[in-house]
Amino acid sequence: MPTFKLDGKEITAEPGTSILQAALDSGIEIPHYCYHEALTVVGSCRLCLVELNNSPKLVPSCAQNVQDGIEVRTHSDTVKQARESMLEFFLINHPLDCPICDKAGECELQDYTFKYGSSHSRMVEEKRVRPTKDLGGNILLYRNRCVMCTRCVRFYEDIVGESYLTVEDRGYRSDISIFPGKGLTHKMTGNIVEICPVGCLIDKDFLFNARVWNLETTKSVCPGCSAGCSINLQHKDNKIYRIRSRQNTQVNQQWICDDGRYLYHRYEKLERIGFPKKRGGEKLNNTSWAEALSIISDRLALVKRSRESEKVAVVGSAFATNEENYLLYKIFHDEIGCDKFFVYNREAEGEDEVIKSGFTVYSDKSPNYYGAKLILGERTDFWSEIKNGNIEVLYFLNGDIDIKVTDQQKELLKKLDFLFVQCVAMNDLVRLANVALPTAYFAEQSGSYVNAKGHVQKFQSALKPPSETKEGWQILADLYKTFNGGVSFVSVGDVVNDMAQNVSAFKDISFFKLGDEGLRIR
Amino acid sequence: MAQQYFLHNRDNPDSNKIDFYLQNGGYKALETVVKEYSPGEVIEIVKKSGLRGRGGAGFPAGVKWGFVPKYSDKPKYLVSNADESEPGTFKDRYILEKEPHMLLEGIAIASYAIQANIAYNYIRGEFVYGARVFERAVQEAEEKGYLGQNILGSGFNLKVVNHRGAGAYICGEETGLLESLEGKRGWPRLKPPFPAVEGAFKCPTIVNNVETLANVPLIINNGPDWFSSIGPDEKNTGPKLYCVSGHVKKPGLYEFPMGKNLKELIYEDCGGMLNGSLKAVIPGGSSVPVLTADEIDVSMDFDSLAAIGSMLGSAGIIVLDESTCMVDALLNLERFYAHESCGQCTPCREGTTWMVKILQRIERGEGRVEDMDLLDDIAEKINFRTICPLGDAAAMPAASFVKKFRKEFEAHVKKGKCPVKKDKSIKATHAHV
Repeated sequence: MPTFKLDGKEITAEPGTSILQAALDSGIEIPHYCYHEALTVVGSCRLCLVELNNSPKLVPSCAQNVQDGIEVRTHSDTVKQARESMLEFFLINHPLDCPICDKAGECELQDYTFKYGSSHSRMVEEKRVRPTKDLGGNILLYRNRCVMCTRCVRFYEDIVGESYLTVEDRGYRSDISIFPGKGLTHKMTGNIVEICPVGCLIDKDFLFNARVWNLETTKSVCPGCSAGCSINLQHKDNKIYRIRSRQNTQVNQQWICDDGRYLYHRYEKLERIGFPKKRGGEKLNNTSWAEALSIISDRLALVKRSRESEKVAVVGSAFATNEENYLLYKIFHDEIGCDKFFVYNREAEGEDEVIKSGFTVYSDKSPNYYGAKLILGERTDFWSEIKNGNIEVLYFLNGDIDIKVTDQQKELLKKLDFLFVQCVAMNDLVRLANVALPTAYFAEQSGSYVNAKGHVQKFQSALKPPSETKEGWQILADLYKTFNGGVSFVSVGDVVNDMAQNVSAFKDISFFKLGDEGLRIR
Repeated sequence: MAQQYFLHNRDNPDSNKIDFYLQNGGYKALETVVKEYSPGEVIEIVKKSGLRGRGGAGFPAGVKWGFVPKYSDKPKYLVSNADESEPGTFKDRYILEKEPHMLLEGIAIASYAIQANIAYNYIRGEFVYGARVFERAVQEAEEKGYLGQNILGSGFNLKVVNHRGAGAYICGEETGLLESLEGKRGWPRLKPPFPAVEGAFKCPTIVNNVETLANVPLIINNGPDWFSSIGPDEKNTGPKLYCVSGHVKKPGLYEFPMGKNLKELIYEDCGGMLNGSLKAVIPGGSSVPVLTADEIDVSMDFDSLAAIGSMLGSAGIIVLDESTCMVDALLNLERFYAHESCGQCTPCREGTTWMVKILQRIERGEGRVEDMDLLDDIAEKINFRTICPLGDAAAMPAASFVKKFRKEFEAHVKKGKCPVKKDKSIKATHAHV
């Protein structure tokens, strides 16, 4: 492997690594715009120029691979001066509108200018002023802020595999442009806002909504399909402002699709259940958690006493976390002796969508089908089981905010003696329940999902659920307590540790070991 | 007058037809090459002749050919760069229109040397007549068996394709040309890899200027020693075309051995200055550093001009007299580069237009004392920091104009207006060709 000197420090890098990447990997910053590790190298921004002992000219470190014995200087006077002048070129026509720019605070033009640039401009001429363009979809092009790095153009060419953007005109008049009649409608479009190093590409969804430094970031996993993309939830005042992709080479590279990016809006519109409910004749009445849980545990205790556990069935969910499904199994199998476990999942929508880079949007829109099956088994057809009259008591853990219950299925549910449901929002299941428990959705709870490839990832709660709504694992841990003499799990990590001991697929896994990127199920 | 090899038939309307060319010994060089020489021998001959690229950079042609990987299983391409668009240059146009078979024979020999079976002639879009003449020449040569399959029974095949550009100066830069040839935006590529290793369609490709290629048959016919004996020394050899424009009595295209004295060329061959006295000469096309009137007693060859801080470039000699405002002249040049910048690299995209705006302001009389240093500094920050030499081409005139004619720039600032009595009524009364 080539060993070379970077600012006097010996560095070894894989052959074929660029000087820039090797520097970044070893913690030395070389400012750059056009270079992006996932995209083709064009070497056009000229910001990453460095001094090389065997070259009379400064070289773009993104386009020069490491060679044995070379000496690279990234902070010599010549390099510093080149950088400063390059930043001056970037800024001469920039409107300096940071106070009203959504990128401010995470803008590489701001950061680099602050670190490497000059505090004043020598340009006294009139600036180039161009109106903002709407590129279709959620994308606005603030042309005055563009640095012509062409990352967005290359994103479509290299990652998506279909061109949506191009550079129009040339020289000083160069302009990012869509093709006639073809707006930015592709599902992967939101990513260009993330890779834009400056405030040129702006997402209408976030436009003027918040200053980024006021947002808190929580690592999470997208529940939008069984790809399980790593995401960051960015929130303040108990409200999500945007979702951004989080790099995870084993799952989503560094991209997310727009279905996932804007998914949080769907939860904002839900009619939440609010309080635990119990049935009183035709009506559902609010009740306390203590009462709701005691109704359930009393009914289950009766089943246990009368040895009628075969009349009890449990439906876990591909939309619930492993911890919820596991606790459900623990209560009903270990405590009640029930052995009818099913997994609820919605029907797949269309085909898997695969783009050039291999990134896939799955047709299975549940986040945890794989995990639910590992814990609860492969059975899914609980409807015919109810139809056959084999079930009297049903505990239905759902979590799917799009569940649709047909009239026929409603009739079947009415045949049950007791229906306990655990749901995120009001739906037909809740309306037919004897007891309904309001549970949190993914952003409000912690837990883990297993994606379609068998990769387990954890996520942490970002928002506080509404006052009488609880995290799913917490509800089930409380229910478990009623059977176990008041001893139960105090954290979601506890549940994972217990699951690791009892479910072979999760052997050796702990909440801590899952880290940020998760682990592959063995 | 010295023996001419390019311009001697300029008055003959049939000079671009194959019959005339054959009567005067045409395609003998190609025949010799395909029948008697190995490709390697051809490269050695051209190396020995000292032929240097006539497009501007002056890189030895034979050495360039030698960079083509010998054992690559990829097809190889030869590209004739006929995208002549350097302001002040009009030599390739003459060859295309009047001596297309010299070029074609050169293309065929060069293709043989690098073992290319397809050659492209990338011709400037505005050269409509030249394109037509060239295409007819290709057809004639194919009919006579000098191009096409099994050329002269040698087993060597060559297809020559004429490809017309769409009007961009940047496509004369060899990698911008290749991108354009592939049907893409004319954005120059990062080098390395150089075209000889990875050029057109990712295959080894040699790009040579039209005049360079047209010299090749002469070298084969007369021998490398003959060629290298022409010119001031063994590094600056062969006949050379000089394009003279501006305030001289007889502007036009001239042919002399490499190393013609510039002063002699202007005052004797071109009949001297048109009206006023000489102020400045741009010796090698608009991109090269300008010379003052005191600097023109110089040999027009690569190394002599380099020694005084300029370049032979494309030998497009632009003569400026005292009625020329140097601010205005530089503004004119910079406006050209700003317009032709591809916009890929930051310094060239932003810097060229910035310079234009400053120059416009100075010319309007709103210049500031610090503007001269600023111009010089912008030029310095563009120079050598771009992907292709267009940045350098825009920077070099700016730096040299400001350095050598600073007083005139300062006079603009002091007076608050342009101090030069301009005469923009030049008429080309005695066009030489």
